Amino acid sequence: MKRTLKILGIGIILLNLFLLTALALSIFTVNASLMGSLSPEGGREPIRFETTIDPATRTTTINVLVTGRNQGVLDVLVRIGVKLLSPDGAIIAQGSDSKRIPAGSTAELSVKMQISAEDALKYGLDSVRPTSTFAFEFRTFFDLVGMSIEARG
Amino acid sequence: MKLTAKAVVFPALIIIAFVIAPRIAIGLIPAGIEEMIRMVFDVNMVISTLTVVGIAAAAMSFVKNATDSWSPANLLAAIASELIGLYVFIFFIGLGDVAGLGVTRISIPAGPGATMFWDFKFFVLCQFLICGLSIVKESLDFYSSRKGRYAQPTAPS
Repeated sequence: MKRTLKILGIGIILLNLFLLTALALSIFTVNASLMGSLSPEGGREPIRFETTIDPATRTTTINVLVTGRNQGVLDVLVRIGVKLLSPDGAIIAQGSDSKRIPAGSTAELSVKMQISAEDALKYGLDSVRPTSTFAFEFRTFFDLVGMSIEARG
Repeated sequence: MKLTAKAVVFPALIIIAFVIAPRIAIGLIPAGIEEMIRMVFDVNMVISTLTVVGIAAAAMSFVKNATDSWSPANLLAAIASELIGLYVFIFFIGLGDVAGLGVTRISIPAGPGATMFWDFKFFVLCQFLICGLSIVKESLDFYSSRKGRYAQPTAPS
């Protein structure tokens, strides 16, 4: 009985140490990836927009680009979601992208959205700029731990 | 009940860590950073919760260290200490939000406004498991000590 209790006690201590280490590494990885991905680097903005208009169909294509940088010690799954909203809050276009980034690496995430000429007229985008919402999600430690940020731009 | 060094030192350390240190720490933080912290957390609530938890944990530590391992008071204090430890873990990991059980939502009022979500459900679940195992261990410890105390001495052959 005494031996079993000793083994159980040691097992509980080891489990606690493993979980605390995993927790510390996960928090560090998620924070480092968030800071790395959302900080401007080399004069480049963290979130970049590329807009092109097709002269034939008048369809506007908006490409949102984000460079995911994993400056942590564990692999990270990065997800971005973008919504374009009309002034009254209706969703004009939306898209998302996700990439798994190994520790110390970078990856480009891109969300492509198209707005037809009819939609641009319908929502009055020739006179009013649409607003956008961004959602960033960073998951690590077998995707069991995560942090996400939702912001209006 | 026996007044040992452990029964005095451990509760004193708990009181220093949970009641005195947070009050000193909040006084040492520069005013600008304190204002930012107060925008996100209810600092007064955190300090009062830590005070209540610290006093309860110190009391349980005193009972646990001042009683014998076969005493029911010792078992109850050990179980209560484990539950307090679990509460403290969820409190810290949820940044003060215990009801979220590891999922925390923080509104950042600065700029255009943003919302942050933390998901630590996995670690909270693991901590529940560890707490359960610890309670089982404490109970087995108690029954083993009790059995040893009340065991009939065997007659020499």
